[in-house]
Amino acid sequence: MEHASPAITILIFLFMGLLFYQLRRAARGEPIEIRRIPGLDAIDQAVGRAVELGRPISFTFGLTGLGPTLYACLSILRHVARKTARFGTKLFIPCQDPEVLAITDAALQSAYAEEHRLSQYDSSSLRFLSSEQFAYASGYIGLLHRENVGCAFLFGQFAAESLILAEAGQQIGAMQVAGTISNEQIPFFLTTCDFTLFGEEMYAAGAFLSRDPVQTGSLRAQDIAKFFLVGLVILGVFEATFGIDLEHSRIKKLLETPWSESATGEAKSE
Amino acid sequence: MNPFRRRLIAAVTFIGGLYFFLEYLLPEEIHGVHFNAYHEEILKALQIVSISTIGLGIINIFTVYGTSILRARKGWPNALALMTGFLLMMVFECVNMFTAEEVLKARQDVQLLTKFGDKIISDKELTPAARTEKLQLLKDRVHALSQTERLSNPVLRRFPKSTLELAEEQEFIQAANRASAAINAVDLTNPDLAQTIAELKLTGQAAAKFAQKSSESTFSALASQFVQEAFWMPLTAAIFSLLAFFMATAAYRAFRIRSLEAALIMGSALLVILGQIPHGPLYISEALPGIRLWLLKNVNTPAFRAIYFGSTVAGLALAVRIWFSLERSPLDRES
Repeated sequence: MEHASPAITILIFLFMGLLFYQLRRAARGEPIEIRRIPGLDAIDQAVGRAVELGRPISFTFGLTGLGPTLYACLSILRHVARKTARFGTKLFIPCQDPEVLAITDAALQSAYAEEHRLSQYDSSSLRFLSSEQFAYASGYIGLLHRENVGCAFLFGQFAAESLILAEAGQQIGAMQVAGTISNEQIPFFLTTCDFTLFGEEMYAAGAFLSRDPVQTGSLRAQDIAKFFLVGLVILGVFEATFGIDLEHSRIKKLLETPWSESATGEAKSE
Repeated sequence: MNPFRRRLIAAVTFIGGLYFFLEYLLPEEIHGVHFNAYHEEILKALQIVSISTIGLGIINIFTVYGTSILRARKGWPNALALMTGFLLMMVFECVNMFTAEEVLKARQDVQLLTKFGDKIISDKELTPAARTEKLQLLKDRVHALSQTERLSNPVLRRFPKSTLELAEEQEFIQAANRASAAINAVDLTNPDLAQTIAELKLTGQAAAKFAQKSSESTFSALASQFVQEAFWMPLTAAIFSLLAFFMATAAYRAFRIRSLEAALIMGSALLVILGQIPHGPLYISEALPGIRLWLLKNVNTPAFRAIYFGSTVAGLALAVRIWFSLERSPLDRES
């Protein structure tokens, strides 16, 4: 079982402290500037294009299971679903995981209810295709071609099927916006989709779309934490550059020493 | 959402999050107390909850595709193919599951006879009369195993009738015959079961082979295997192989030099591809593999790590927000 070392524990608590402090600042109404991300602006453009063309919209989570990534994707789906509810556009959600299917159903209902269009919500827009990766991909291709979707959103975790999914949208001329935390799939999306969000941009989407102070405050905390981590990296670079043996690096040791060894170390020093 | 329900969800989320947070942070043992002693059980419970949702997927398939067939909507033949495949596989797999269970029990019964024979000899508390009675029982059981008539043989009766002529069935009956002959030769007043037990062990092994072959040779098992090998595997491979063609079209789009970025992508991709060529007529320079490695190690890896850094920190922040229910859930309704 993997456990945190004392140094990692301290880092996590420091980060949590920073996060709560920034949330408090944001809640007090301090303005926080969020840079524009073209991919997020493109979400509304893509919905608008599909509405104008009178073609349906598709939104997939790929192989995403339950977890923070799904939560981030649901924030984007909620935004898209509210728009489709408002404009009366058909929205298809092909799913690969039955757990995700159940949660997505609840999220869609709440989005439609917020627009006072719950009666328009059609549960058949949620499609469980298959838990098998390539069976899911083939189902997705079929759905896109049959329904001739006007825009496709691909958000979440993807594996080898990413290019198959994105290329299917490309073939039917759908505007595509993708977002993923799967590093290896980023090049495929970049070459095939109109806009691609990667890494933390996908997590930032919720803050950008909702302007919720909790989420925007969190973004600032993340940026400060990253500066701190980059500082640690630079420190490591100095250590390596000035000839200190990396195997015995103090920073590495501090981060990797488990609880049991650090406790023994204390006992010895005592 | 009902405020009570919202608070309840927040409380359960907090408790669940706290457990996993502490499980990661705390050492395995604190003063002899194992905090994660029940961790495996907790994970199993979560898996059970997760598996129970598969029913929702099946309901969705029936609702969406069943309606599509009944109302003859666009693409209904595809829905029909899907439903037929789904139902056939479900029936075959259910039959296979029940057959395999019954075969396993029958096989275990045969193997238990060896232990029964051992027990008759090793149990010192058995009176001679009781021993004789048990030996007679063993004799009857072994004799029954050697019957070629399906209904009178307890193994053949419970094993599925195979669609093929199985050599393993004959081997099993011959082994049972030898065991029966061995036990028939035993003197009930002064029993020596060494030969019988050796034969019973061989019968048990023959039963295990027969069980496996018999389970694999039923109509449902053969049909299921056929569907998997003739449809599922080639179709999966076909979809996967699409990747090669899609990569070519994606590369064609990406490598059109329209901007500085596209030129950089094109240049670096070319160097990496050329650096991949080991030897032969297309081999250009000894420096290329080194350039390729330098690009991958010093340009590609740091970029990937930077993305990974950002998403890890963002994921951690989101996890904390979910844990403390700090932001509005996407499942929550405003009005």
